[in-house]
This record gives sequence, C-alpha cells and structure tokens, in this order.
Amino acid sequence: MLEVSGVRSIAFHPDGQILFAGLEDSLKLIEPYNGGLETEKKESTKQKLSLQGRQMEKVEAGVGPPFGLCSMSVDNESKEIKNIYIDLWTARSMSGANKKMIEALAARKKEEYLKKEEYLQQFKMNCHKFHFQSFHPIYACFQ
Amino acid sequence: MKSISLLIYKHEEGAIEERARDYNANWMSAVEIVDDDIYLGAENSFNLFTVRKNSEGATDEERGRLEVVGEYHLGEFVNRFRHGSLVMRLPDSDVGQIPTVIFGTINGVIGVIASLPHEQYVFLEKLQSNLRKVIKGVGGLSHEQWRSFNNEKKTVEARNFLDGDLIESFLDLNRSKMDEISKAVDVSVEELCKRVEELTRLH
Repeated sequence: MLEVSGVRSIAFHPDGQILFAGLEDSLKLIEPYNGGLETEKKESTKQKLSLQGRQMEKVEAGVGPPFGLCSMSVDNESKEIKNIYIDLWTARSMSGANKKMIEALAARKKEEYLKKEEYLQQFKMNCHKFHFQSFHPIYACFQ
Repeated sequence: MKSISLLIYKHEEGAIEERARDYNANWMSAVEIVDDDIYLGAENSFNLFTVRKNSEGATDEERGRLEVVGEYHLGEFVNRFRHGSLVMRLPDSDVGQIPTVIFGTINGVIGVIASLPHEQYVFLEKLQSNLRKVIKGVGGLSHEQWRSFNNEKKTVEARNFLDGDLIESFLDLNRSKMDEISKAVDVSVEELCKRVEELTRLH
C-alpha cells in the first residue's frame, strides 16, 4: 500500500495476526493476505555432464568473460565438449575471498584435467591452436 | 496536540477504542508503557511526565481520564523509549529487579529511567534534597529550577522523578560534605555510599 503521509511506527500484535501502523495522522490495522503467501517450491536443478562415465556438475565460477572458448572432440567421439578458459589476469582482477576461492577451484580443476593423458595432449594442441606467443598459465572449467 | 491516549484493540470486532486520555495538551515526541497502569511520555519542550490509568474510578469519566503523576525537565528531546538495560542485570540482586527504560534523544544522548520501589524513592528523594543544599550549581543556577517541568503553558516543580546524576554525584564529594549530608539524613556515610553505588549498577 502506498501512503502519502509517512509511517511513523509499526508493531505486530502479540499473536502476529495484525500489524499496527502509526501514520502521521491516523492509525491503521493491516491484516496479512493469506492467499498471497503461498509460494511455489523451487527445486534447484543441477546440470550434469556425462564424460566417459564420470559425472561432473556444472561449475558456476562467477567470473568475467572467459578468455577463450573452443570446441573439440575427444577420442573420436562426435559429442562436442565445451571448455571455458579463464586467464590468470581475470582471476587476479578479482578481490577478496572470491578471488581465493575461484583460484583454488580453478587450480583443482586444472590438476584434475591434466591427469588425463588425452586431455594433456589436447591441452597442448589448444595452446598451439590459439598461437600463444609465450606460455601463460591458464585455468579451465568444464561443463 | 492531545498528549497521551490509551487505546485498546478488540480483535473480535477488528476495532480500536480509546480507553483513557490525558486531557492536557502536550506535543508528544515519545511514549512508552511502563506497566499496566503507568505510562511514560516525552514532549517537545524537553520534559518527561508519567500518567496513571484510574481503573478503580467510580464513573466512566474518572476511568477515562489519565492522571498526571510525575513531571520532570530532562533538557533533551527524546524520540525513542525502549524497555531494556544498558548493563547486564544480575537476576538475584535487588537492583536487578528494578525495571528500566532506555531512551535516545536527538542529540545522541542515551539514558536510563528506572522505576524505583516506593521506599527507595523516598530515601533517595531525601538524599537529593540535601544534595541540593550542599552542591551549588555552576553560575548560581538552581537545580530545583532547572528540573522543573517547563513548557509554554506552565512551569511546575518536578515531582515523582529524581535526578540520578545529582544523586550519584554524592560519591564525588569530599568527606566533610559527605558527613554533613549523613547527619542531615541520619544515615551513616558508609550506608549512603553503599546505596548510591547500587544505583550506579543500573547503567
């Protein structure tokens, strides 16, 4: 409700059923509308990606634009897997706890990624593909 | 300007009725319920006052009138009262049983108003009266005049309120002045100090 005069004080009745609102020139009783209080339960959905039998959850890093994005095939599979690369400059530009959290997350993902020989080879190929003048450390998230 | 009105909410009827009213004209700045019968108000001339509901009155008119029972000049514009305490209260102590109201003012002052038992009030009132004789205000100002309820319409002597700051200043007196007051109220200096120190634990 919009009031042209200011509400000076509000208080609930002890049983919580009524809200007393003291305005500049009047006292109002407000009863909550029960029908409008029903809310739908929003189930959070998690996207999962099957990758050679492994279940990997989508990682929402919450960082700025990715440094690069490419598609590639792995082990002759036709299914395309997207890799999002986040360069260190982007990570360093963030501050506070988020920065540490994201850097730690990216480091874990990189380590996990490079354990696989085939991914390591693909990683090197990607470096070549993007024509890096020098090797810059990069981080990857999977989806 | 209407001063304090006591309203009752009737849930079954969804109605609010006026139960009693203070018929003086006061421009209220804050109001609080002290207990079932006593209500505390602050008004815009920097005064505090208390009113009492007369539930035992013989007529509707009597029961509908809030009677002013306390008046005091605080010197500050109060805009909030809240029940509560500025200090940790010890539940097993005498002082811990005293209900207190905290107030805040537009100048940022935070203060405490304590509801004292009658016997303690009488004792401290006597002490305050004698302190007024011993402690002279700066520039010859009279504490009694300063604490009188004063607004555009009237000036009346403070009643049923005590100045805690003045009372606690007893502890700052030198020994000879303490002795002087001790004789006047017929209580030993040690006892006086003990009872005033109890008050300091209210805030």
